[in-house]
Amino acid sequence: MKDSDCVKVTLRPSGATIAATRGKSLLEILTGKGIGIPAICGGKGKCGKCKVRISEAQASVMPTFLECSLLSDREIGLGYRLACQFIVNEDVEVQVSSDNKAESSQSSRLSLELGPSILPAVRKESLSVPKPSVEDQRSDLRRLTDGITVENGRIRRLELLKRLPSFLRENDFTGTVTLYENEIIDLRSKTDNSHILGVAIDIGTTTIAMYLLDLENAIVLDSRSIPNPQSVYGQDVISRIDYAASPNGLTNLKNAIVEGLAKLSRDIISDANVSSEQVYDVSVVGNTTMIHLLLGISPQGIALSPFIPVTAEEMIFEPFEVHLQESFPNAKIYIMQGISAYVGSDLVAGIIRINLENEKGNALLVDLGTNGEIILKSDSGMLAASTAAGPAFEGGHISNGMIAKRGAIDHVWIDGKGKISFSTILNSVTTGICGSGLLDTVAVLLEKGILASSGKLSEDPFVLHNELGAVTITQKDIREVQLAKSAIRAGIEVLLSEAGITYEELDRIFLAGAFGSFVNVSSAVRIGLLPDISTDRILSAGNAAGEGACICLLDRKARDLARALSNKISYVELSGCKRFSEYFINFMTFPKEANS
Amino acid sequence: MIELNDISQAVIEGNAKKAKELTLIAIEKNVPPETILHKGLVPGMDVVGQKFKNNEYYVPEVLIAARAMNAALDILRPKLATDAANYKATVVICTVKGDLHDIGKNIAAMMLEGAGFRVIDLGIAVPTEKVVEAVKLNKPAILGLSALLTTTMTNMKDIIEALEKEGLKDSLKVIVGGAPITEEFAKSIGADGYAPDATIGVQIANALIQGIS
Repeated sequence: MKDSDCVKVTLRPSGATIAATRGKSLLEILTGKGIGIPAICGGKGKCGKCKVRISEAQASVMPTFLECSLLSDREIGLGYRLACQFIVNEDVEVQVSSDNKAESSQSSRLSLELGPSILPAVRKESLSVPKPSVEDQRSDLRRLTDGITVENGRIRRLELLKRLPSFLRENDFTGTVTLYENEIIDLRSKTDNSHILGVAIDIGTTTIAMYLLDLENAIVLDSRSIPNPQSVYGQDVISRIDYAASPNGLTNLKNAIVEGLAKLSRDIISDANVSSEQVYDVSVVGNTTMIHLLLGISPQGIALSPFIPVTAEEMIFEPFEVHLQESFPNAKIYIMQGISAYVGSDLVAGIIRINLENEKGNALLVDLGTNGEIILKSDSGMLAASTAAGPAFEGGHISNGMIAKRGAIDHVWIDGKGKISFSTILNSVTTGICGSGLLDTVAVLLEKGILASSGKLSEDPFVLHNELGAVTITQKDIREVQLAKSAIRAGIEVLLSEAGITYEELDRIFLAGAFGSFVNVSSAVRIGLLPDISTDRILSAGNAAGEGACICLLDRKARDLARALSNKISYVELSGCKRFSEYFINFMTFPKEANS
Repeated sequence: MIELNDISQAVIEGNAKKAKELTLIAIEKNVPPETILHKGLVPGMDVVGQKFKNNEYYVPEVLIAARAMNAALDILRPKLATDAANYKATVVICTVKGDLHDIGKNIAAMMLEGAGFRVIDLGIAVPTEKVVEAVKLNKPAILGLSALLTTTMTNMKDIIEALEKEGLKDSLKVIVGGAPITEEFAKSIGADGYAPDATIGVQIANALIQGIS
């Protein structure tokens, strides 16, 4: 880089400096250094979330048209700009909100309790074979495979074969064999008693979760999650696919996920006082786009009609093939079978976790996210659909929306005196509102008559305020909720009518996904997001996808089930479906009165 | 003339049955179909557009109103002389290749029809060649293109380039719309107008045809 092309970006309050190429956007420069800036729209100047404060000297740079429309005059006067719009041509000082970084790298703990191990794909067997002699001239490999209980045992890893002769002779033809199905994947001395470990991974568009399991005792040692580091390239699946088409886009996305997994695995393995070499099995689930991006396969076909993924099949890789050899040098990387471009293995894992197939009567599994995925199990089989709810439930496209983190309004209710009250996450000063708070607000406003069933807000904007601060809800925010909830509900209704049942005949609704776990079920019913069934029949399924991936580590029969499910489940395409459009419009209004 | 106000009102309320009945009565009373269209239905949809703009109406109300207007139009259409004199101009509209979203495009089509345009709706996921063909056939003053995905909006550019290649671009104005579209994007692909919503789409269409004539 020539000196003349180089500019200095100073971060406040830390004072750290970044050398950058002149002419790049601030967003590119900051995210390139791993500084988490929320950019829900992928840096297109549409969401207004990548707000940063620029030092005085540079604040005189004219704001762009987009900045003027997304920031208030006061904000612009104070030096706020959108990082995606601000092109750095001179040295600049930037104030970056301190919790952006701290919270984006924080690992949160999840919990899971599982039954005893049944039949893991990976297991160990002790070995003791006769020494070679003139009478017994079998090859080392033949001697090894003859000495284990598995039929057609084999070695595929060349490095292991190279190690074989010295291993046998140094260990006096005894030891421990690690098997993955019928493949010998490692040889260890008899004295090495360390347990076989497995890692389950759920790659969500927003969050990545990782679980570390002891496969010999069938217990979860630890679990962690981090925000998906690909988020800087766009918040939803479509904007990531879009970014993947740009030069180096696919590589950047792949590297981001691989680095995120490396970080998670380093933390989880070192905190558990184990070695990464003990991990022999890694089970990965995720939506179909995330799996494409992990494998470095172009996901372009997923975005366009007729929505064809390169693969949704079960696959097993060596760690180096998917660039995970640093994190899991000895493991096999198992990718669970998915269903279609928009119903991925995360949903299949969820079905396995809640044992939907054996659920009595009619049951619905709904994963509420940017893409709402819906599975309906009825007597006539299983149906799946995916519907684009948009990012409203995750705080996107909402004027004061944010993801569920410190300071977000998470619950809103009417107190005993009829006053609207709310709580915030960690009881902090309000910084915005997250999906669960937004849904509660809509329900409360309907109850109070401030919001008509048509969606017309009589106090625009409505201000939620208490001692923790104030947040405004605008008419436009309500419209976003209407679109999002109607997309999910219309998807549910299409599947119900496809199966020939009515919502009253639903025995259970399981809510999966982070948002599904936090949402107040009565509010979801009140606004018409979910059908009006008794709320005790609506259950949170927690982190069903990640837990389903754990089950696949402990029980290889679950993998057979995953493959069988993908053939059994009929996918109903909602795009271009006339009935979906009709439901979508009909359910856009809110139910007139709460029945329960 | 009282029926004409009532027809407008029926459209605003989204009462398809009433709109249909009143239109039949007006025809019986020998009110010219052109008058029913321009003094009854069009002003009704105009109010609907205003209410949409003021956030009083949202997608469902607009569609219900449009349904009422269409019910009346179905009766009027055979009676209206098909010559251009009855229409402000012809609009060809569609959702581009690879994209199956049709609600926004339908609202825009109905609002345009309600504003007195002749609208030819090619539907969804329309291949570029089909759009060019329809332009050759119908010689519209305006081409409306919708895309709801960042991955399909680039197909708008392909259409404009194809029109330029065929020497058709100068004969019409292109308006683009849909959630991911921005003013900047519209300019960058050589579109003549950007419609963030259906009512603005109608305004732009009106402004553009004045520029043409």
